Amino acid sequence: MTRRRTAIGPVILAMTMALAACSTGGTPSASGPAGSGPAASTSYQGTLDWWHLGYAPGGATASAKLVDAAVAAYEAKNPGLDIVVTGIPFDDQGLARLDTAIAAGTGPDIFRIASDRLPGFGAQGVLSPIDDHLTAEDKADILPNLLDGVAYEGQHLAWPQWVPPVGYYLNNAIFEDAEVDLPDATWTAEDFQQLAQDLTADDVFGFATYMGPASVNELTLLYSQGATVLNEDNSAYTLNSEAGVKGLQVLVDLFEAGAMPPDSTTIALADVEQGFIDGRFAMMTAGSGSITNLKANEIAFTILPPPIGDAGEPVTVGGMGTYAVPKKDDAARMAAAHRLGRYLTSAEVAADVTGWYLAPGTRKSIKVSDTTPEMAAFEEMLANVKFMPLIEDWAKVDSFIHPEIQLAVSGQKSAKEALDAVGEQVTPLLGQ
Amino acid sequence: MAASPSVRRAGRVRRFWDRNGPGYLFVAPSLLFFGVFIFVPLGWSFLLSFQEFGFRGSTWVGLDNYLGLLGDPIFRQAAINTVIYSVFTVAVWVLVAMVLATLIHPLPPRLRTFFRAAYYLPAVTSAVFIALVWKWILNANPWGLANHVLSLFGAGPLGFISDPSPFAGANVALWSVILSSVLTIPAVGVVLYSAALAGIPQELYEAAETEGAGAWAKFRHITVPLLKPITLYVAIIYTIAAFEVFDRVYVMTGGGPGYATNTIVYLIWRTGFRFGDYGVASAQAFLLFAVIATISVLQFRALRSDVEY
Repeated sequence: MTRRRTAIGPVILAMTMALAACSTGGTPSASGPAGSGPAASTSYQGTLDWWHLGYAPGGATASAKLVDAAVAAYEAKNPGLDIVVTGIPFDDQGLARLDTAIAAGTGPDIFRIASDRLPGFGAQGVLSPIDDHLTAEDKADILPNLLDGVAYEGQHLAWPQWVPPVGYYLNNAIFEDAEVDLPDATWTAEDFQQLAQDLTADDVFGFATYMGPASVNELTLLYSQGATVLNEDNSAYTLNSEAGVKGLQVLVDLFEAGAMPPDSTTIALADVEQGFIDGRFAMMTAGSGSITNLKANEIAFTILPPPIGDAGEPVTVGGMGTYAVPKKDDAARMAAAHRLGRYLTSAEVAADVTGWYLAPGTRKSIKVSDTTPEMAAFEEMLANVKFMPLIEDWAKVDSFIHPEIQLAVSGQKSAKEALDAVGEQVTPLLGQ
Repeated sequence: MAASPSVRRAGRVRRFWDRNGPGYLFVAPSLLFFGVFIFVPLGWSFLLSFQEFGFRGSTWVGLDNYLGLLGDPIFRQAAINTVIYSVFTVAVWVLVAMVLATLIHPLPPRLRTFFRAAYYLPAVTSAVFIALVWKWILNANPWGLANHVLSLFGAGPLGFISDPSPFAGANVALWSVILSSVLTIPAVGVVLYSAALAGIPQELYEAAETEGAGAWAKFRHITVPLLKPITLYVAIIYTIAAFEVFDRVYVMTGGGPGYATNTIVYLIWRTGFRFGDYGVASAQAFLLFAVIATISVLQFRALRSDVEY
């Protein structure tokens, strides 16, 4: 889907099927002399192609309206720039199209992407790092641990925009009905386990979480105990540590006690949220993106960080939304794309477009909770967010973790056996 | 004076063109489309299956992708799941299609048309939608339809698609997916068998009745043998469809719990589109092709007949 105009360019990728890649034609650039710094970008006049996951033209969705407003604001400030936004589906096929187009050199000038996919692009060397475009103000403004979240082999690959950490949503009405007091952010793993069981009743399950691929929701309970998937330099698998097993055992025990829905091992992400809205789940894990939907459904809820385990503090996990700029021959055009990337991840865009940030921003200058009070709980979690390892094979590692957790939860393996089995599959990848 | 060889060749070409040229011209667009969008990707995919794919250049790895798959426990599990799924669904689909078509055939024309149309509905309904409905029916929660019905009789709830416990040589989740498939009417089969039944001479049945044959005897000794060519065709297309099961698994279970409902095509999708390992995914696809081709040949040998009527 393309705003204003679309040209379809075929990109055939052989497997048993062909992928059609959509490429937007841009007007020829009237670029000035090549340069990579912010000054060079001001000389660029012409089109910038922006691919946005999930964008629908014509303001068809709430997020599309935000994108359109940001484009209008930026174009007004930069006469001569024509930003063309193309939506790509927010699924594996859409991402494959993005991969293909970027590799073929027919991709966008800028695109939004989750940080866990950056290493894949980094290994291919197809991205233009932001380092040459980061100003001293940027470096002072972006939270250091979050800037590290886009670092790969010594380079920062993308503009960090926001962090949607995984939080725990508590359904206030169910707590009220069960005459159970709402806990606060100091709750422990034991408190959580007891609450989940106390809140379980006819047609109500105490806790629900998504355990499928491309998500880290259930890992919060393992990280709370101090576990990590890999060690610090990503050279060894560590999730089968004592802490990891203890965290997974919490899930296993809750499922066995009937405090989690029987379809926990196959439940879809959207169904977890719907169950919470329908009053079937007392607590659930979700990112800050769920706030809008829950508010729209007039659900009274409380957001807490994950319960405190042996890590001794409320640790959570998350990914990061970023804007990345693919390498292109036209340096001025690339610099212009970086300048747009800085704008889209700054406090300036938040001032221009109300509600732009759907998750806590990565800069100190951004206070999302000023406009969305519910976001305060997520903002407080930022300092303790653990990101998944930035390795090229993360998608594979991720796909090995969840099936084994499902097998442990459903009682087919012990927590230790399941996490060891993950290690058998992950370790060969780390040795490559 | 005899014509020279070149003149004779030109004459043959002209005669061939006069006789067949317009025909080739008519099929040319179709052939071109088929070549560009089927054969070229297939050929490219075959080459990819011997490479480690990279967007900026692939590396030739010989048979490594194939050998890696043979030692991969996840692929082995997916292959076993696919075979179990296919054996049961194909057998039931063929049987159900034949029986339904036989039951429809003697009905008055209007009623027959109605049932044919009704039974064809699953073929024109979105496979994803059908899978979503089955996901709701076989939901492991108390509010799943099957569990709700069971609760009326004081039974359940059962885990269905969320239960990877071993059961009857496979696991509960896989049997649940199989159940959802076999209970979805095999629409194409019903229509094909209906058409074939219309072609069986009525005199054969009348002669059998004269000899005192009952309904079962007529079905067994006339209908089934004379439907053999269609049975071969239906069995082959259903075998291919069963081995390529994807949408139902993707929607209902996502291959889980664990690897309980992983199938080969689901694995191909995951390897290609989630991991970007197009080389390995291509190798998986060609192994699947080899299996389907072998089974189709065996089916052809077992079921082919020289029936004419």
